[in-house]
Amino acid sequence: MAAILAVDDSSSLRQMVAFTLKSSGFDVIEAIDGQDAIEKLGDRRVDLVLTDQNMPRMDGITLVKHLRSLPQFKATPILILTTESSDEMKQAGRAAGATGWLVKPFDPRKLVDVIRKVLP
Amino acid sequence: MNPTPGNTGTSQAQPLAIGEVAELQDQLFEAATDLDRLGGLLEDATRQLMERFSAANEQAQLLLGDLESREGLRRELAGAVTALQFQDMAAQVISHTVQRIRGVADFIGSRAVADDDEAESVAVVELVRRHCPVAQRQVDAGSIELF
Repeated sequence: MAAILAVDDSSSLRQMVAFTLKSSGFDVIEAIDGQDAIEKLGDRRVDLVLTDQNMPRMDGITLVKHLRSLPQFKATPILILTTESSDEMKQAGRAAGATGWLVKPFDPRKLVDVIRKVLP
Repeated sequence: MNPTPGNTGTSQAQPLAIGEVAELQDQLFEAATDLDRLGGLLEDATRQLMERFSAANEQAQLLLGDLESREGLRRELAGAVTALQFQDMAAQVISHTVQRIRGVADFIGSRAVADDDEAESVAVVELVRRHCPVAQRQVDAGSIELF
């Protein structure tokens, strides 16, 4: 069972993501922002990271950069799920090493499909 | 601005008294607090709705015998989850608006005391002008791009 780290400062959004992913058979670990994500990860491995962009303490793109600097997350799919849709932001996400950019609101079925597509 | 009768030239706006500025700031901060409260109410309501959905889904999966019915339920729930995300976007708009209101209140206050800290004024103006993160184009909503 693949483990997914879901990062978002909105508790209701985390709830919706967790509901969607658990219903499809994934294990879900939740974090409230980038800093919390790093603390929750510790030495743990996850199969995919799904992160919001605009969060306190550490935003999504900064989290992506940090994870890509760690050997154990160099190849881990990292998707950014956000309300931001500007080309500038997407390019920043791509440059940071994100695997993909999803604009909210997400369709649960499409979210699961893209996750299954990018999981190794 | 049209000159009022009795004036010989263009009328000039009268500066606000310190007391009026303080009152204006209080009103703006109260408005910001009310918006914060609204954001909290929306978050609570959405969280409770999702808990109910989750519980209903578990019950229904046990009761529904055929695959078609279960798939139909999944489709309906997927639609509900998509629709409920309005709360997350509304919360971001509220947060952005609160920051702008507080920024305007601070700006008014700094001007009222003839604050010459230009750096702080610039910072406040920049904060007020920062783009709203939910300024997405409708066509982009729900889009997925893999790099």
